[in-house]
Amino acid sequence: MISTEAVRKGQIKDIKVLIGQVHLTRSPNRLQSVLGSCIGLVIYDPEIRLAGMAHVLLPHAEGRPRGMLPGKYADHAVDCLLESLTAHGAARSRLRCKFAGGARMFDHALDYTRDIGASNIASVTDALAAARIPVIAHHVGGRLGRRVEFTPEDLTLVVEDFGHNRIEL
Amino acid sequence: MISQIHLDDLAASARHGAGNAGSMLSRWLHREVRIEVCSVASVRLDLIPQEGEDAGATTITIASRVNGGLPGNAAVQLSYADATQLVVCLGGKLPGEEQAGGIGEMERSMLQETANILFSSMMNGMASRMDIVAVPLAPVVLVDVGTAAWDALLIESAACADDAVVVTARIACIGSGPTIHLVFLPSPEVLHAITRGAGHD
Amino acid sequence: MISILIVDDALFMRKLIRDALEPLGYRICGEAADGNEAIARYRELRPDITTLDIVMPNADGLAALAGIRQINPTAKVIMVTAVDQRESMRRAVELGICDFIVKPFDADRIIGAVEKAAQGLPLGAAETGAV
Repeated sequence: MISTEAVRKGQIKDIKVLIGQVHLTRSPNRLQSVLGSCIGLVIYDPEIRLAGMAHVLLPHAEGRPRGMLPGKYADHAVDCLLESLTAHGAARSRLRCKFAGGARMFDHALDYTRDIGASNIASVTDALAAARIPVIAHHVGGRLGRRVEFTPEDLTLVVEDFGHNRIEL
Repeated sequence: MISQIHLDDLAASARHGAGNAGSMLSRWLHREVRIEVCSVASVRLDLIPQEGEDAGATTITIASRVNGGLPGNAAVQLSYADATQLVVCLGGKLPGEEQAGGIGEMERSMLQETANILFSSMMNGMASRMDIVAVPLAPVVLVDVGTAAWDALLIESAACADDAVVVTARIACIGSGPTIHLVFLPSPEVLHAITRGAGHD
Repeated sequence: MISILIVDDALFMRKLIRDALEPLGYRICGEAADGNEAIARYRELRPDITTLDIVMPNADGLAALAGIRQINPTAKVIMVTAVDQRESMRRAVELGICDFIVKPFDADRIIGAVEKAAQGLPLGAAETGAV
């Protein structure tokens, strides 16, 4: 467990991964995000404690170019994480994944968003399978938003939902 | 590509809508309400949710799909404390923040109806200056952690570009009262229409 | 006693209308939260007057108005609408309504509209219920 004191002193940085972004970090820093229908996708190399998180908003790029937000689409996000992790010394064969999110936030009023969470989950799962990255754990679906935090030091993804449930993956 | 001229034009319409909405909300809440358009700008998607230090705090988001000639997503987001004050204006009461999941049906309805009046007057005020009609659908109330609701609001814009035009306004009840942020994200297609129709008068 | 059916998807709006009318001796015979429910309740309850919100999920107020008109071509309906729904209002007027009220409204406005609609009802309707 990392002390809040260490964060305050600046020895540990908490990196916020906003919509569509991809961030990489090493232990002892942490990656954080707040998710609704989006997915917080973490791919990491346990040997060297290097991890990357993408904040995935949409399921498929459908041939669109990567653009300024490489984590926006599930397929781009997986590609981008693999490229940058290996560029920073991760071994492709050691990479593992944990992810969370994909809730269904609204019912009827925003029609076209119907089950975008479910599509995101399916798409992330497909992209990981295609890239042959083992999924160690995930916490997805439901109706509640999630706050997530990945700690490369101990490789845990802590998920806290709005119902104050705290799950360690 | 949307130019500053189009944004300025949209801002003028938004101010027209804000004036209309301010007087409607004043009547509804029986107190003076002023709505100021803060900005009308093209913003990169990841920077649109105003994620502060309290990103995990309880917030209430009331969102509405707008159809008609000015399609898009409208939403107001307010802190739990502000929502509590707003509901008091209408004769209701919210439970403590730790029981926020248990907001009563009547109070939920008060928030929904306030947003309904706000969106209808704001969007129609905006649309009428552009000589079109806006049709906001019944709003939904979402009580959740901070910025989680944004995912759904941004999807439409995100499928077209990495940035979106955002109209933001601040709703202030004179004296001590809630400060609410209102956003409207026009559909990308309507922006194309606006840019095509530029220079008409 | 004059019976009234209140149709609005918002629980709070139904309460506001009920609170305005009940103390004056009107009988709220039922409530409905969407257009389909409104038609079903109208058929079942045959209220003297119906207040009908326009923007509702599932079937909206205009669909409900058309449905009610089929059941009773002379049904007395007061449309309730959020500001500036001009197009919807124009269509409602075509279908035939007694009056329309624009939200946000004061209690006096809804009372006035109901009183006006009630004037056309058979004499003694109010007394029958009181006996």
